Amino acid sequence: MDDILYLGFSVLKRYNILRYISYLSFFLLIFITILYYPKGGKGAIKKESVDQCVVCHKDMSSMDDAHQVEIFGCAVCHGGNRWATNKKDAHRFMVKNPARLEHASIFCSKCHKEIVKRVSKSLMNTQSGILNVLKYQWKESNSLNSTIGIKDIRKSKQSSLAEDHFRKMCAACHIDQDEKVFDKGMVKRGGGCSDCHRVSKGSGNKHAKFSTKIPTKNCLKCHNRSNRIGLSYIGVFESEGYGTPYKNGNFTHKMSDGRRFYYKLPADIHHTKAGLDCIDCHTEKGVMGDGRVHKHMEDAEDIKCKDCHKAKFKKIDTLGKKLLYLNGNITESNIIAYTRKFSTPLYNIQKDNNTTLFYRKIDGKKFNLKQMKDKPYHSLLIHKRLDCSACHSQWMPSCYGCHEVYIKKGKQFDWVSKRVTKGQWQEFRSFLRWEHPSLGIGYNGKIMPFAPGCQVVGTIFKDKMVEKFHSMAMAGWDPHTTQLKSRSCEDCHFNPASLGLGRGHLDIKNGKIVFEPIYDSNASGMPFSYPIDAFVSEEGKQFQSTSRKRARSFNKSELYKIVEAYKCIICHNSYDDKIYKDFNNSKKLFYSGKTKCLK
Amino acid sequence: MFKALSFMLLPLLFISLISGLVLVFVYHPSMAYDTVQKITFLYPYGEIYRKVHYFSSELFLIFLLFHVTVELSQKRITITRSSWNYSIVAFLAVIFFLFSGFVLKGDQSANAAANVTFTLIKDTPFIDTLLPLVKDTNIITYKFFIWHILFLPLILYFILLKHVRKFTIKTEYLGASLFMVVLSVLFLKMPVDVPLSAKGANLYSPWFFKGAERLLSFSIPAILVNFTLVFPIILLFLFRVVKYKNIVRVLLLIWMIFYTWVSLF
Repeated sequence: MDDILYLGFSVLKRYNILRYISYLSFFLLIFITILYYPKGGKGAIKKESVDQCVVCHKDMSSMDDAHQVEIFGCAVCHGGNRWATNKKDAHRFMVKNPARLEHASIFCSKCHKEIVKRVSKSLMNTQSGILNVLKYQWKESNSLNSTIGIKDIRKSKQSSLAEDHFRKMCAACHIDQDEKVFDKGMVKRGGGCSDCHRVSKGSGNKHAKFSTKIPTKNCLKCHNRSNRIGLSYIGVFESEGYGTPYKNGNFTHKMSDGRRFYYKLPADIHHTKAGLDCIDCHTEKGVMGDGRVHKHMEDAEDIKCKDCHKAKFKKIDTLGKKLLYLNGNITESNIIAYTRKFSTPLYNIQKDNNTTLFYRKIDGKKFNLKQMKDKPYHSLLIHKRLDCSACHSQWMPSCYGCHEVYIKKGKQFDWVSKRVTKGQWQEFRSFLRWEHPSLGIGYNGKIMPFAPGCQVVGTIFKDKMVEKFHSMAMAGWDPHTTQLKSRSCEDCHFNPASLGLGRGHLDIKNGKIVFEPIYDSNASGMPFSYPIDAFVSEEGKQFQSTSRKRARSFNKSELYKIVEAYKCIICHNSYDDKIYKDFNNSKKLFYSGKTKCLK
Repeated sequence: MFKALSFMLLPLLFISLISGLVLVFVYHPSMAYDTVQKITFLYPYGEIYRKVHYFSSELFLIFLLFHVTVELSQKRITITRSSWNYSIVAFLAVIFFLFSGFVLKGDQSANAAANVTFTLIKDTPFIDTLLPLVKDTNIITYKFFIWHILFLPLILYFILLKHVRKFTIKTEYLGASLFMVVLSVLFLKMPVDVPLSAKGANLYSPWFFKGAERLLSFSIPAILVNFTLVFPIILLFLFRVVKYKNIVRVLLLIWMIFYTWVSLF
């Protein structure tokens, strides 16, 4: 080896090759200099711009006024190499949707760190509310206080039955879902911040538009199943039917997913009278979280009817000023309302002398906001345990007996792992009602409407074995079908469906409640004997579970008290009746025998 | 005849210093990544200067390792003991020179490499007091920048004075070095700079530092990793004084195989 090198160097020296190489290298250097001469035209450097992306992406529009491309450029949000003047280098490490939470924690967090943190902990991201209730109801967990979420089950290789159901039937509606996994024609969900804030799609040099004025349709992408709050709010009731009457030989009343059909029922008064969107009531803290990990939706929820209709006013704080400024449509004011729970500024509710003004957030339209009247129906102590929704909700989607079929051999798309995995779920239901929502004691200890949530009758096909299981539960929530006129006194006090007894014939015989149900579970082949629409027996025995600690059906004494009052309601069925003017005194006079029942 | 290759070292160092001198005028440690990218994409010929600086430095280290290997393989060592010792210090200075240059890129890989260094220093008793020499609390590249453009060139200059006595660069070796650098610029690619915002990107470290990082990833204590790095230096110091040089040679070879194996696999 040494000899070869020695010979090589001798040759190089003898013929001055090294010298020629050095001349050649100088020429090469000149060649490179020419090669790298700064170019003009496409790929030319734009010294005046914040990044070089605009060299190719000319006339790119901004996502909104607060994120102008001329000021921020592209790379600050999308990553990549802002200084590169060729596609390959510029697009390396670029992110198409920086709003996905995994990216938002890097990009959006540069300015909105606190919000991204809050959203990451919110139920829309953790999904621990859905997951834990499902595990509890399917008897896989004894606790309703678990905070296990989508992140945790993503890591696990094996799934329980409830987890598998969650993966395949629920997890599509995850705020950080990858939008790419949705097939054409499906409503795309997820995308992190853009799930809610994107108000129009982008294409070419038109950037998708983002806004803090989130339209209801964005919320409806997810809030159209389960308790169907979003649909109810706009007066849509998912029917068990198939789209009649026909129009031009085709189905009508098809929902946007193309698979389900609906009936039109009275929409929420806030929607029909004022055209309010969800964000007009729901606060940013209530929706995006308050930074704490919550177990259930109502824990995270900020707004209450009272916050608007019996508003508490204070001097506007910094956050209120900021939100007011960002909205841009609402008149500035020093006195605004605040939520009672998290003290979140309701900058669209303002005090003007003796009137309360409400501004619609989307367009700034002004309304006179009616405050709760101190009339007997609101002030009576006998009704102090009533949640507003108990009386003012006109209807509630009630889906009885959901038949869940699990086929072990089948395959289905898993929304968590984003691939097709073993095990297939199918859902069937046929008994859907909206009228006379049941009442019970809700999660807040107040009387509120109840509906199935969820009643599952399951069949598991495992190889040649067939297993069965059932999980019957009722849940209380505000169905968002609010009307000014409340339910009638009779509807609550002597309607067996409202009392939670189910549909049938109610009577009082010898001072006892007698109820004959219409639905016969045994005859219908159900694995339980109580009527499927019964929450409680006339003896106060609760048939179905709930998924909240405080939630329950009426007990015996409560049932009797309610029904007992019906005797009076038969005659005194209007709050204009004089007995309600001073109800306590009326009661005293009646029990002392000074006033008598005329019937 | 292998010795002739060591004449390439000074020209390569010269090219590296000249190209670095140009870069220093536009580089700013507080905006390290941005200025490096501006140099690469926006400033006229910035990319050439960066590539020349990078490849001349890399070639310099490769030739230096070659030079050390050749010297170790000689039967008789001609240089004095003090000159030998200065050479080893110079060798260490060159390694740190290249490492600091890597950190100055300011990208995610550079920051990761710097953080690994900080951990190595911080978690080793006695050495931990030296951490402020390289770590700045606000700007990660700042102290490395000072070392790279000021202390290390000065240290290297004075040590090399002792080592080579006279700086002479022959035209043909300068030409050959330039030729190699130019060929590298034309046909080789520099490692990709990983933006600080990139998530899940494959980070990399200088090739001579990979072994240390891998050892740390196996949860080996920092003190042992440091010992692994210092071990060949100790052997080099011993080499000049011990009688049984072959034992040192074998130990160095074993170390080299071990370190290469750790770095690659």
